[in-house]
Amino acid sequence: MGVMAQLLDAQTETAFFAQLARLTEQRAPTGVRVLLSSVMGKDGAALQLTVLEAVQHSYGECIRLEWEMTHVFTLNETGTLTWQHKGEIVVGLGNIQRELRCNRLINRVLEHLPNP
Amino acid sequence: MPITAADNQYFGVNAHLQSYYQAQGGWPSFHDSYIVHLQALLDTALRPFGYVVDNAASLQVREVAADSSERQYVEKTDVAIRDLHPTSDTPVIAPAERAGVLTLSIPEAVGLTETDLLRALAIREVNPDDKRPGRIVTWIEVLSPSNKPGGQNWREYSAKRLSLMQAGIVLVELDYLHKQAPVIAHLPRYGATSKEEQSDEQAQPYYIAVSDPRPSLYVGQTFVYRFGIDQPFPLVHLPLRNQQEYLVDFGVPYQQTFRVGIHAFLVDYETLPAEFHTYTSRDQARIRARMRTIADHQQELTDTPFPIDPRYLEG
Repeated sequence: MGVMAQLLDAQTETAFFAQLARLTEQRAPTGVRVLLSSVMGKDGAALQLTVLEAVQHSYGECIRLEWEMTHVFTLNETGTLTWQHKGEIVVGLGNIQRELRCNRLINRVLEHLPNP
Repeated sequence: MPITAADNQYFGVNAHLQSYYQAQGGWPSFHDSYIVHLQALLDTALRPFGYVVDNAASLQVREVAADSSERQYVEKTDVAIRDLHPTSDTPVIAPAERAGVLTLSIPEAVGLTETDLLRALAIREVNPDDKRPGRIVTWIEVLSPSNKPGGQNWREYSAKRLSLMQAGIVLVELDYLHKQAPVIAHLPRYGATSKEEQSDEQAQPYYIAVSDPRPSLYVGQTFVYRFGIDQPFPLVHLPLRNQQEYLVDFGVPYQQTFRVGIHAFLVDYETLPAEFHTYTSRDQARIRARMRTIADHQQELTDTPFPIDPRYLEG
């Protein structure tokens, strides 16, 4: 079962995040990097998974190579799961799975990553 | 009672550590570790864009052998970045395959041996067809006392840097050694150590120089990022192929290097840096202010330096 299927099939926030964290195990260099860290937020401690994508932006005559943060998943100590992307925040497992089903962007990101 | 910390307590270069290495020796230990961390940082960042970062590259020049026999010398270098997708204007040349061509590493050509130079980094293009490392695009040197003016290899290093630029390779030089004159001509001399030398009070102890010889050596430019005591590393525009560039914070691998091995243990923030007089009066005041701030917070030092209390910089 692929990562996307596992995410859509997850029954709990913890299961969802654990599946997502498997992406950090990818070794082959791709245009996507996944970083896992612990953070302190207003709701206390949390695990945060950040997706970075390799992009190129033009600045005058220059083409700047950059790693752009495109997705941030956070699982805080109370078990709340959030997904931030493009300035929007989706809260809760059900909402996130619903959004994932119709969001082609995250699908594209996940396709970049080999299954761990 | 010494004050030590696992993490660097300066914003930027650690003046205590750099002074220690310049007074007592041992810089190669930090240099080599720094090169490895820098290589990891750049390789991870640039690989998806078609580059590979190499710290054991062979930089070669070609000469026609009088007897038409082929010879090749391979040299260990610091770090180079290779382009993974060579374009038509940057073809990969394989001189050793041509009859009557003698291939020499530049250090060999200028009479250097492997032990005379510390390693460097080469950023290379990667060939999209066979995924093999290709042409060197950018060359990164972390300067050591021996290859700065006054050092035993200065003449050879000077020839090497010129050879790199004549080959159209971008040269990046990181200089965290304040005692010796800079390798960049016309850069103000920092903290002269003898009466004969002229010091410039406005000079900075550290700099990162980016020399881009494209389209030609005479048209190309050198960009010098200068920074001082307790100032963060500047964000450096690293030129690559075809107008591409990448912004690099060379401070990230510096902090990583500081944390590993013995480096942090060589710093005692309770005592002045070795050869304190080699700093300008302005920077001596900054160092003292930093030390007082560290002493104030010695029970709570973390991976982020505490801001200096402005009162410590007065009078």
